[in-house]
Amino acid sequence: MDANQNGFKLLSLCQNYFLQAVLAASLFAVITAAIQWTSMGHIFAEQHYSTLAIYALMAVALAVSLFRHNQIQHLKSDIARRSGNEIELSHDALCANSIVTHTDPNGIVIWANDNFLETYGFKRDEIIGSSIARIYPNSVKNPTYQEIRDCLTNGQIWFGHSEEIRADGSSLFVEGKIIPIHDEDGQLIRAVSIRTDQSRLEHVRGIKDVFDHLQDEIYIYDSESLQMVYANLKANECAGWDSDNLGNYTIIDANEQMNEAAFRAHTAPLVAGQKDSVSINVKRGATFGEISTRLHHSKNGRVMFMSIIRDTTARVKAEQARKDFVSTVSHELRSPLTSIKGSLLLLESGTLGEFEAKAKAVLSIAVRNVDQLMSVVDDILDMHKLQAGMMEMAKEPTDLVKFLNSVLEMNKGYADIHNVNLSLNTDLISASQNIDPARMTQVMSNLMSNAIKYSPDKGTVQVNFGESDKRYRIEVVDNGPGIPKAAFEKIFRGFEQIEAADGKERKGTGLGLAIAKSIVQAHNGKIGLESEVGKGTTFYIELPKEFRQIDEA
Amino acid sequence: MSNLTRILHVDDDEDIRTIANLALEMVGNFELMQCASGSEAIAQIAEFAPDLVLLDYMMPVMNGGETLNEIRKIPGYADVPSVFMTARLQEELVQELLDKGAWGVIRKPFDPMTLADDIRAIWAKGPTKVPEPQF
Repeated sequence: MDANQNGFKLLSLCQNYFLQAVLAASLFAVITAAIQWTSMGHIFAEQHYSTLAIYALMAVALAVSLFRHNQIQHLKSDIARRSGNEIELSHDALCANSIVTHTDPNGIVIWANDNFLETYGFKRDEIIGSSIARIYPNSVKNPTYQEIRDCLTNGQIWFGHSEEIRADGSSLFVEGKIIPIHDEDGQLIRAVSIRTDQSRLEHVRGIKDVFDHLQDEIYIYDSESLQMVYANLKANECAGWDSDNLGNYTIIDANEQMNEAAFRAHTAPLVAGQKDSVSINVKRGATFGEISTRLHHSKNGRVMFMSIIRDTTARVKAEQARKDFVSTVSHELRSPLTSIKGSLLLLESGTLGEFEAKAKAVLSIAVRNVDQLMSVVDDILDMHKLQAGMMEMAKEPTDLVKFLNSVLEMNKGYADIHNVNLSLNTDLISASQNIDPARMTQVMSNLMSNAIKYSPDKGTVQVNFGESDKRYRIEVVDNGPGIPKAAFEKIFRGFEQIEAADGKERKGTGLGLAIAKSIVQAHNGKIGLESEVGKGTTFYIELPKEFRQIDEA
Repeated sequence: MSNLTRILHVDDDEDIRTIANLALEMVGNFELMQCASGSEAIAQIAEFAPDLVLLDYMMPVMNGGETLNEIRKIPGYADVPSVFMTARLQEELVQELLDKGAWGVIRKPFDPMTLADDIRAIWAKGPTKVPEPQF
């Protein structure tokens, strides 16, 4: 705009000097001719032809100059008209995007656009005619407000950020430019301020700051080229990158273990919309990390990935320590127990010579208690494994009807000792389900041994097996003393063997049901109980059906 | 398959060796040789020429798997029938051992009165998988 104006001025200046020169020359020529006309009659004499030719040329030059002058005048007015339109258009565009106000030299608002009213929450009548000072908190002491006033008084443009207040008293952050407008004598006649609301940006800046300083590594990059767009401080530090040249790196450069083809295969489910996030464990030197990746759609429609690398060294080491503990305890406790039990069984068998009846009775007490101790050790280790997430389920398609029959068979010996009858009640001939048979046997044995333990003499433990559309249900029903409702939740917590309604104490750690619950949950199932004091207890397991039933033709 | 008569048993726990000795020699009527470590077993296996090796898994210095790897390198023992003993809780290990060619896995604590029968049952069943060269 400035360059245009200067060019325009220069053009009109040159034009003026040229015209003046031509006019002066023409005037001189006309006067000279007039003197020659009046002084003699031999005007047509030969020696004056050259003078006449000069006059004629001058006249032509005068005519051309006048024509050019008209043209330039026309051009000037055209440019002025167009500039006026452009300024008006620019103002409209500015008002559409920015917050614009006009104030008089005393800071009274004389005009405000709709954005101002909307952002600051004022009605037009409310703000027009009142002081702009009201949008500055403590305007008398507000350093920014005073700075603006000084700037405008000195005829300077103010540019900066300020915290201002809305009509309702809430604050907002704005970026502003305030331009003083002067009259021909240099007097301030008004100030035009152009503001943009930075509150959201300020918020985003705050979030970015948090991202920058997080202790996890954060990477944002293009999902196709894998080229980096953002990496926080920790990420740059760990990857050893130059943060000014992020575009030179891809996520593959973040870790020496990364392989592009493998990483693309790993993230394919994200692109296909099959998963919200994927994660993978990596090793970096002596440390361990977990890379979690999710889709991130940028505003311009680019599909990006965001990966977070979290240092899991401490967790991996703790897990290893737990694993070591489980195998050490398992070995250290079980080896002597194995020897004790083996010795006792050999003695009891009579292989090493017969014992008299009293000695045999004592031996069987020892065997029973070794078994008891062994199951406590197993329970504690199971619990430990479950808490550490170390117990893996080896699921395989299993016919639940056969499975339940074998579980009944397995517990028959224990039932006989307690003089309790076992029975399986089902209409199903077969029912295939993916279970870990060893672990589910553990669950069923726990429920059945409890039921047997609490059953009255000559009682019956009934196992019911049925199905609904979506799930199988196994019930273990006893007619023992029952469990008070208050204990229903506690019963699955572990180490909290509740007192039976009949007050009799039974052996066990109380861990069995806690373990059973974890195992059933690992099968996506549910375990629970129904009980009435004095009538008996029903423990049930519900497993969601995994295989669709195929009707036989 | 020939009859199972000679068993090499490797376990670092002396008490367990004693009980296994009673269980296999006295109850089971096998000819038994016992070693307290993997290296001892490797040194003596050729001389004893067992039909089957019974290995405790968790042993110091060289565990049961590593011991079997070394035994398999000895000429004539590349596919020696092997049975492991492990604690009940190491379920993943049991599967891993079977996958790598063990004929069977016996869980501790074992019953000395049935140990011999359990091993005979594994012998009769034969290998579950073709042995892999390395554990």
